[in-house]
Amino acid sequence: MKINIFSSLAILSVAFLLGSTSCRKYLEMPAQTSFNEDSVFARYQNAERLLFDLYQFQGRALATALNSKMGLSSVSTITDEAICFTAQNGYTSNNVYAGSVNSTWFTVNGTNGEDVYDNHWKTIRKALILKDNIDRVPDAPADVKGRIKGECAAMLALEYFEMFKRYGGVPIVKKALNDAEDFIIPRAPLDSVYRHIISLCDEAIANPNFPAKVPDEKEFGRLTKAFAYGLKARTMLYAASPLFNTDKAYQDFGANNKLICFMKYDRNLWADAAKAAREAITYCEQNGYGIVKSFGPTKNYKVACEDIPKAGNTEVMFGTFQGINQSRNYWTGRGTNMGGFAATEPTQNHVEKYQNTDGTTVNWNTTITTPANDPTFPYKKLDPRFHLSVAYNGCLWVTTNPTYSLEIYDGVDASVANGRNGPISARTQFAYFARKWLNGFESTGVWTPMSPYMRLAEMYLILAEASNEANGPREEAFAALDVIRTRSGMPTVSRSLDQNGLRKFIENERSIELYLENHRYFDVKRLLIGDVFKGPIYDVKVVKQKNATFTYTKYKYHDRAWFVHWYLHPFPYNEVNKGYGLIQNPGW
Amino acid sequence: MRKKFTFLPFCDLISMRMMVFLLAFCLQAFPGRAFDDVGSVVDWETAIRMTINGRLINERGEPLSGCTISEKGTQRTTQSAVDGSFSIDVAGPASTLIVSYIGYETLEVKVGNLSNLNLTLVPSASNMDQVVVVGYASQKKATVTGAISTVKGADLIKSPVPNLTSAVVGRVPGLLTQQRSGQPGNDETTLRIRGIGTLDNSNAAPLVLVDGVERPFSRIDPSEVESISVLKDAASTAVYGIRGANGVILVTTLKGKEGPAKVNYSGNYALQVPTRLPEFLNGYDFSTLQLEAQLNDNPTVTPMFNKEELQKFKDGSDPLFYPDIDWLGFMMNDYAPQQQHNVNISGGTSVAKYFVSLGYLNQEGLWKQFVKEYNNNDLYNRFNFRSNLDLDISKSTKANIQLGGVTSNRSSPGGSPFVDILAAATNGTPGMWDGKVITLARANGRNALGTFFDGFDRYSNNILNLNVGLNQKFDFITKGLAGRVKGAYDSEYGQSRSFSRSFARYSAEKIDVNGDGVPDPILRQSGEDGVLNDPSESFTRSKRVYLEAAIEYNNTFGKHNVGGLLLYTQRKQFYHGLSYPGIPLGYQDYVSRLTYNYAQKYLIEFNMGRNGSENFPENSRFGWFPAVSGGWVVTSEPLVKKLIGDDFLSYLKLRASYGVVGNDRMGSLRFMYFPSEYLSGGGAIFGEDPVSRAGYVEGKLGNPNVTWEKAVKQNYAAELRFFKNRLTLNLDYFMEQRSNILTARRTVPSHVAAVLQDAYNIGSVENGGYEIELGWSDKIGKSNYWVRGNYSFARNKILFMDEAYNSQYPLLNQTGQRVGEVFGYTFMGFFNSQDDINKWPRQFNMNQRPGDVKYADITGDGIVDVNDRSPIMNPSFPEINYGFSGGFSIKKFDFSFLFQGAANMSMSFGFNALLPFSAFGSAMGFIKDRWYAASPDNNANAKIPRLTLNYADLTNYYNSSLWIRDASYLRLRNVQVSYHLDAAFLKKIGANSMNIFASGQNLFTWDSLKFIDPENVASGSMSYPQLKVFNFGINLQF
Repeated sequence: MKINIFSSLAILSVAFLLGSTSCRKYLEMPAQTSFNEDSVFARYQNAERLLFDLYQFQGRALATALNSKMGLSSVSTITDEAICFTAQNGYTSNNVYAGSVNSTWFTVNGTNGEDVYDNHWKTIRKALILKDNIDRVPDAPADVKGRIKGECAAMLALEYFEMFKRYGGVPIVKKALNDAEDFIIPRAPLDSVYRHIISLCDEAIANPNFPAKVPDEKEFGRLTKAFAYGLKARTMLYAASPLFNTDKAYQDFGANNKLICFMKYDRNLWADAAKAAREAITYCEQNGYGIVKSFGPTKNYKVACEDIPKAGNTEVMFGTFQGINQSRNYWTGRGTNMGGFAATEPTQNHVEKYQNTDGTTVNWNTTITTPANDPTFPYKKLDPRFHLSVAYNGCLWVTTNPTYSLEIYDGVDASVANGRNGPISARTQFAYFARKWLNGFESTGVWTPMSPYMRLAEMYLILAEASNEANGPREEAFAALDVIRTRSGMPTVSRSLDQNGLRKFIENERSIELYLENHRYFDVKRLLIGDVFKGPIYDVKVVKQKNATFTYTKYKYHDRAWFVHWYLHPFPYNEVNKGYGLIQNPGW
Repeated sequence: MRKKFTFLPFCDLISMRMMVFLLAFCLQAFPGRAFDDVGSVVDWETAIRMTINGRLINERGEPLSGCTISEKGTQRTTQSAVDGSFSIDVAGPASTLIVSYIGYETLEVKVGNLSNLNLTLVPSASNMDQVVVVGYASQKKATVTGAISTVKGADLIKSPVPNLTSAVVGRVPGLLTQQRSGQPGNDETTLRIRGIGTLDNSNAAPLVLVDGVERPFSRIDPSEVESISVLKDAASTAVYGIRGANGVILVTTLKGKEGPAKVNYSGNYALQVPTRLPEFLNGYDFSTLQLEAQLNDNPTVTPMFNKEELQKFKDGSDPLFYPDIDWLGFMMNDYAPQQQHNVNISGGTSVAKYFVSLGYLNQEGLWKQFVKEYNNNDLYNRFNFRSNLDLDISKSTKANIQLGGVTSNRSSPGGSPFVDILAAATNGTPGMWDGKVITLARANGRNALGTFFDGFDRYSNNILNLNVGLNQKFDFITKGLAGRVKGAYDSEYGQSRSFSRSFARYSAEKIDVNGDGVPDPILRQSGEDGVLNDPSESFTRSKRVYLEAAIEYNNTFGKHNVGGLLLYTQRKQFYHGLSYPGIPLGYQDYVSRLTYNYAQKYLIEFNMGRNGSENFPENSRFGWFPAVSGGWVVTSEPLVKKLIGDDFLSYLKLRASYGVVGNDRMGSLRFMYFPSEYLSGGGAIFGEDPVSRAGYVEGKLGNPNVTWEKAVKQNYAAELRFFKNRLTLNLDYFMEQRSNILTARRTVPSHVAAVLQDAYNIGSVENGGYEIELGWSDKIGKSNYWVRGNYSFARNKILFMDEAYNSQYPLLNQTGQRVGEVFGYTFMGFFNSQDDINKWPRQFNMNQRPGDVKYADITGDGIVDVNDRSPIMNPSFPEINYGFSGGFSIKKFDFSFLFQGAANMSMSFGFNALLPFSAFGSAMGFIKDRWYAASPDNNANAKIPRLTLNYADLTNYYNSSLWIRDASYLRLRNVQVSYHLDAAFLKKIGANSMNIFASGQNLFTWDSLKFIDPENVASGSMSYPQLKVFNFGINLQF
C-alpha cells in the first residue's frame, strides 16, 4: 500500500506540474532580436546597404552574356539597327522576327525577356522602404539622409519611367505594401503615371541635399540631380510623342484608352519637353558636365560612350557596371569565332544611316567594287562614330597593330580563300559586328564596360526634337544637333531643312549617336513609325575577287513581323491570370 | 520542471558499454524466478515425469508465438517460440495442458501418451479479444470503431530487408509505398497513408511513433517489433490532432512475458542482386550510332569514325584505343552479401518481465573493389539493442523501462557512380589498363571509375531511445480508475565525413616513340595519386524530451462498458537542425477519449485532441480536433443470427467515423507567423574603379493569421466473416476534404513585391478511395492453407490552389487535377519528311527536321507552343497498391508468399538518362529504336527521335507523352519456405525449437518499363537499384 500511495502521489504531482505549465510559455517563440527592419535602420552602415541593393537591377543597360536580355541580344536587334544570330533558335529576337513573341518571352524571364516586370516593383519597394525610414537612422547627418531621399525619389521616377514607356499606365504604389487589404491597386491612367514621374523628378530636383554629381568617384553609379533633370526631360519627350500624346489610341481600347494614351493632343507638351531639356543642359553644364570634345573627332564619341569620368567622360549622367573584369567575349556583339555570340550585329540598314564626313552618302544600291587590296573603300570617309561602332571587312581590329584587320568575305570561287572571319565559317553570319564598347579591348582578355544609361548628348537631341516640334525648324534645334555632330567631325546641319526633314534627320541622328544604348526600339514606338520594324533588313555580301578587289553587294536578309498591338509591351500573362484585375494591354 | 526530467544526462554519450552493462544487469537481476514472491510453491521440480514437445499454429497455419502453455493445476508454464513450438515438462499422461492466446479460444488438451503435440488454435467466438494498439492506449479489436490496420512482427521478419519501412510493403491496406533506392543504409521506403491529401507530397508524410513517442522507425530491427498499427481515419488520429491529418504509424516493441528465460537466435545470410539494370549500347553500336548522329547534324563533315575504326570497335582488336566497356558489368559484382543476426532473451515472473535483444546487420554494396587504399564499395553496418522491462511493483503499481539503441555506420563512394555511368560512353575508355585509370582524348572519354578513386563518404549515426513509465491503479478511489506518467528521452547523434583525394589518371595516345614511323601507344599520366584529405566533417545531433501524464477510467456496469482517457503530453526537440536552432521545437497536446459500448454490440467513441504547435501565433496556436465514431455488430442481434445463421455469416460489424484532424507542417518552416531576417545579398557595383557592394535584402513578411491545415475525414466500413470465420472480408470507404492547406501564395500582384511568408492557409484538396481486404483459410486434410489480399485506392483532386489561373488554356492549370500531375506535350509521332513538317503547325517557332518529334496542337491555334501542354499521365506516386499473400503448412514445412503491386503511377524519363552522346551521355540500349532516314520499314516502329549530337535545341526532349511511361508493376515481394526440426534432434542439442528457412524478396517484377526498376522514379539520375534478395536463415530457441 505504501508503494501505491507513493506512486499515486508521484503521478498526481507530475500531472499537476505538467498541467500547471503554462501552455503559452511552453511553446516558445523567437525573440524579437532577429535582424529585422528596425535593426537595419538602427545604423547608417546597414541602411546604406539597402541603398546599394536599390541598384541591383540597374546594371542591365548593356546586353552581355552575363546579364543579357532577349536571350543574349540587345533590344536593338529587334529594330533596324541590328540583327541577332538567326541560326540560334534560343535567342528571343528570332521569335520577334517570326511574330511569335508572347509575354512569357518578353516580360517575365530575366534572360529571355526584354524586361522583367517584377524587378521594377522590387526596386520600387526598396526605394519606398528606404525613403520612408531613412530618417530613423540615428547615426547619420541630416544632409546624408536628405541625399538618400532624393536618390530614392529619382530611383522611383526611373522605375516608373521604365514601365511608362513599355506598358503605359501601371499601378501607382505609394508605400511598401504589407497587408493583404492594400494589395489590389488598379492600373492608373497614363496621365497620372506621367504626372507621378514628373513630381518625383521635381521632388529630387528640389532636394537641397541631392548632389549634381557624386561627390566621390567611389560613388559613380549612383543617381544624381543631373539625372533627375535629364529623366524629367526624357519623360516629357516620351509624353509629348505621338504614341501617347494623342486623342486616338494606337489601338482602340474602349473605356480603357486612358491607360495607353492621354486621349488628347497637347502641343504644349513639346514645349515642356524643350524647356526641361534646356534646363537639364543648363544645370549640367553649370555643374561640371559637358559634351566631350577635347579628344579629337575620332575619339570624342568613344570617350563619351565608353569611358569613366576620370578618363575624361564629362557627359555621362548615369552609368552602370554589370561586372568587373568579365571575359571580353561576353560582349555579345562579337562574332562567335572571335569568342562572342554574334547576338547583336549591325545591319546594313544601320550602316546606311551614316553620312560621309563631307555630308555625302554612300550609294549602296549598286554593287560596289573596291580597288585591289582596298577592302575598306566604301567605308573610308564615313562618320567617325561609324568606325567606333561597327566592325567591318578590312577594318583594323587591333588598332595598334595595322597588320591585323578583319577578313569578313567569301572567295569568289575555290581559288580564292575565304576570309578567316567570313560568313562561310558560319559564325558571324553577317558582314558586320558591333564594335562599340570594345574599342581598346580588342586584344585584351578582360573587360569592364561602363554602360551609359543617360548622356548629356541625349539632352541636346531631346532639345532639338522638342524644339522642332514645338516651334518648328529654328536655330535652337539646328544648333543643338551641331553640338553633337561637330564634336565627331561631322558637318553642321543644313538650315534649309523643313520641320519634317529635320524630324527625319533627328530620328536618324539619334539612331547614330545613341547606337545600341537601348533608345531606338522605344523611339520607333513613341514616334508611331512601327513599320520600321518590318524591315526589310539588309546585309551586304562581301566577295573577294581573283584580282584582289572586293565586291560589296547589298541584299535583303529578311522581313520581320510587326503588329500594331506591339506598340506597348504585354503584362506577363501570369500576372493577368492572378485575377486581381490587372488589365492587359490591347491585342495581347 | 523541465530540469527535473533531464534525469539521464549521460544519455548524450551513447556508448555500447552502457548498453552492455544494462544487458548484463537485466540478465542478472531477473533470472526467471528470482522475484517470484508467490511464496508457497510446491516442489514441482521433483514431480516431473515427462516432457511434452509441440507446436502451435493458428487457423491459417501460421505459427503462433508467445502463447501461454501451462499445466492445469500447477505453476508450470511456458511460451511458444517464434515458430510456434514449445516444450513443457508435465507430471504425466493424466496432466492437462491449457493453451491460451489473446483472440483465440483457450484450448485444454489431455496429454495422454503423446509426447509430441501439434495443436491448432481457433479464433475465439467473437474472434475479437485481440488487442489493437491505438493512440495512447490499446483496445480490444471487437470494440474498435476507427480505421486501423495492424501488421505483426512475425510477418515483418519474413522479409529479409534491412529497412523496416520496406517490410510493411504490401501487408497493410491503405498504405501506399514507393522505395526509390536500394542503396545500403539509404533505402527507406516512402509511405503514404491513403495517398496524398495535401498539395505537396513532401508534406503528406505520416506521423510515426515508436512506443508512443515520435521517433523514426526505419532503422529498428524487425525482430524487436511486436506490431505496427496504421491509423487511417480521423477517429483513430484525432488524439494526435494537429499532426494527425496524414495518418499515424504506431510501432510497438516486444515485451517480456511470464515464463522461464527463453533465448532466441535468428541468423540470416542473403545474397542481393539488382532487380534490374539498364542496358547500354556496346562500344560498336555506340560508335555507329554516334556517327549516325554526327552525320544527321551535318552530312558534310568529316566522319568521326571510319570503317576500319568501327571494325576495331566490333572485333576488339585494339581494346585500348577502340574499347567496348560495359560499365555496369565492369564495376559491379553479380551479387553482394548481407547478413542479419538477432539474439533476444525474454521471460519473467509475475513481478518482472524482460525482453532484451541484440541485433546486427551487415549489408555490402554491389561495387567491385578498385582502389587499394580504401573500400570503394557501399557498406552498411548496424547494431540494434533493446531492453524492455516491466515491473509489477505491487498489484496496482506497474513500471516499465524501455531502452532502445541503434548505432550504424555507412560508407559509400564519393559521388554517385550511376551519375558517372550515365555520363560515360561505352566507347570512351577501356576503364582500367595495366592497373591504371584511362581516359581517351575523345569526346566523351569520361571514365566512370573516377567516383571510386577520388574518395568516399562515411556516415555514422547513434540513436538512443528511452521510455520510463509508471502506471498506478486508483481502484481505492473508484474501481477502474488509473493514472500513468511517462517520460521519454531520445538522443541522436550523426557524423558525416567526406574523404577526397586526387588520383593519377592516364590518357592513352599514339606517338612514334622509337622513330620507326609507326605510332606506339603510350600512357601519359596526368595528376598524382594524392593522400586522402582531412575529411570535411559535419555533425547532426538532436535530443528529444517527452512527457506524458494520463488519467484513465474503464469500468463495466452490467452490459454497459464505459471508458475514458484524459491525457497531457509535451515534447521538445533540441538541436534539430532546422531554422531557429537555438529554440527547441515544441508541441503540446491535451487529449481526451470517451468510449461506450453496450455488450460490445453498439459501440460509440469520442476522441478529441487539443493540440498546440509553435508554428502559429498565440491566438491560433491551439486547435480542437474532435472525432466521433460508432459501430454496430449486426451479427450480435439475435434476430440476425436467427435469420442468417452462424454458418453463413459468422460476423458482421458496421462502423463509421467522422472527424477533424490537422497538419501544422510545411517543409521545415517554423514560426510561420514570424517575419524572417534581413539577409546579406543583392547589391551592385559602384565607383569609377568599380567595386561590388553587398546589399541587404528584406526578409519574408510574417503571416499573422497562419494556422493549421484542416482535414475533415469520413470513414465507412464493414467487417465480415463468412462460413465459420473461414472467409473474411473488410471494406473501407473514405473521404477527406483538406482545407486551409499550408502553401505559398501565387496570386499576389507583382507590385506588392514583398517576400511573402511561404505558408498561407489557402489550398483545398479532396481525397477519397477505398480498401478491400479479403481472406480465406481452411484445411485440406491435416494441412492448413490460407490466402488473403488487400487492395487500396486513393485519388486526390486539387479543389483550390492559389494559382494564376489560365482561363484561356484551362488544361495548363493544376486546379482540378491531381497533386503531382505531370504536364507535357502530346506526342503525335515523328516527322517523316519535309512535306510532313510543312503540313504540321509550326512548333516552338523552330525549324524542324525529319525525325523530329511531332506534338499535338491542343489549342488549335496553328502553332505548337507552351500553351499546348496538358496533363499527360499519372503522377509518379501510385494511387493503387495491392498485396496478395498466401501460405500453407504441411507436416514440418511452412510455405508463404506475398505478391505486391502498385498502379496508376508513371515515370518521366529524365534528361540524363536520355540524351545519348551528350555531355550526360552514354546511350541506353533502347535508342536503337530511333528514327533514321535509311530505316527499312520507313520508321514504322521508331520510338526515339532522330539522333543528334547537338542538344542546343531540345524540342525533341521536352516533357511529353513520348517520355513518360506507365510504371505500374506487380512484384513477387516475398516467398518463404521453412522447415521445423525434429524434437528428438533438438533435445540432443539442447534447443527447444529450431527451424531453417529460405526466403526471397523481390524475386520477380512484372511491368511494362523493362529498362529500369519501376520504383526508381528518379530516372533522370538513376539511383542505386532496388534489390532482389535470396536469403537463408535459421531460428533457434533455447
